[in-house]
Amino acid sequence: MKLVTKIFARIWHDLFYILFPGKLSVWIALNCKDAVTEINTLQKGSFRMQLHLTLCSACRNYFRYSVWLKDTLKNDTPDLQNLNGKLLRKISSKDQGAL
Amino acid sequence: MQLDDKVRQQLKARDGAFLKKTFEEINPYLHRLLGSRGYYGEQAEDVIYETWLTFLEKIDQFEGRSSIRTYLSGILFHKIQEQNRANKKFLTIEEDLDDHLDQSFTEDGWWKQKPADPDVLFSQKEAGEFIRQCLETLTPQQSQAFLMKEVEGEETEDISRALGVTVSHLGVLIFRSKEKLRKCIEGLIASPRKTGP
Repeated sequence: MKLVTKIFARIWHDLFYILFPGKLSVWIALNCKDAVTEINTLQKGSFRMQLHLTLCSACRNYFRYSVWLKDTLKNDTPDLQNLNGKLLRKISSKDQGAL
Repeated sequence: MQLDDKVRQQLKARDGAFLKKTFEEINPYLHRLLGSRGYYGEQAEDVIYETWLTFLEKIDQFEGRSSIRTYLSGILFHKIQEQNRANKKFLTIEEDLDDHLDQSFTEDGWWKQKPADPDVLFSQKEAGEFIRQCLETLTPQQSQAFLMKEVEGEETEDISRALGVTVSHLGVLIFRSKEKLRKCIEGLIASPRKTGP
């Protein structure tokens, strides 16, 4: 199934750039530099970026790598109960002075 | 995003329930930021503790133009810099990134060297540990930009303001961060690992 998907993606990519050559294809679907810039600066990608990702396996790889980094780090949750408790005690303490 | 008036009042009033919830939400984020600078365990907790005390002492100066989290990260990094100056530790030089993004693409904006399939990364059990180690290879500005944007999903404008950079420079910082992380992680994956007796 993966091979079929790859073949289809290649046909889709080639067909797109035959139908919309040169600067027109970039205007419709961005180039790689612009797509990567969007991936790195926007919360949610535009339609043009999403279209570029369906066309470009390189940028898809970059996007998948970005998502993997984000998800792996987000799942890393330290146990900070002691710290949180210490902060609450400090803040609610009547002897804390300036705070 | 402007801070809600109710939130500001709860902060000033030191509302216990509200603060408990806020600490639980924000402290893991601050802990991750510190991890990227080589601060772990008790040392990291001390810095977070002092960061919060500074924030609450100067709560009246907080205008609410950025989120609490973003504002706290500014205080946190200032404290790290103070400590580093005192300890003459982690002296880093910010890289010149102006041309870096351009160097990775042709004039027409296509990849010079296409990113490889990341599947090899996905299968690594030690992925989290590798990323933590590799975060230390980033400069302070790169790690802050990367964590705030990619992991915490902060608004681009807030991050740009906190770091004192333009939005386009932020994009370059994040691009460079991801490149360095990938090279480092692939290096760790490829390096021979010690096995037990």
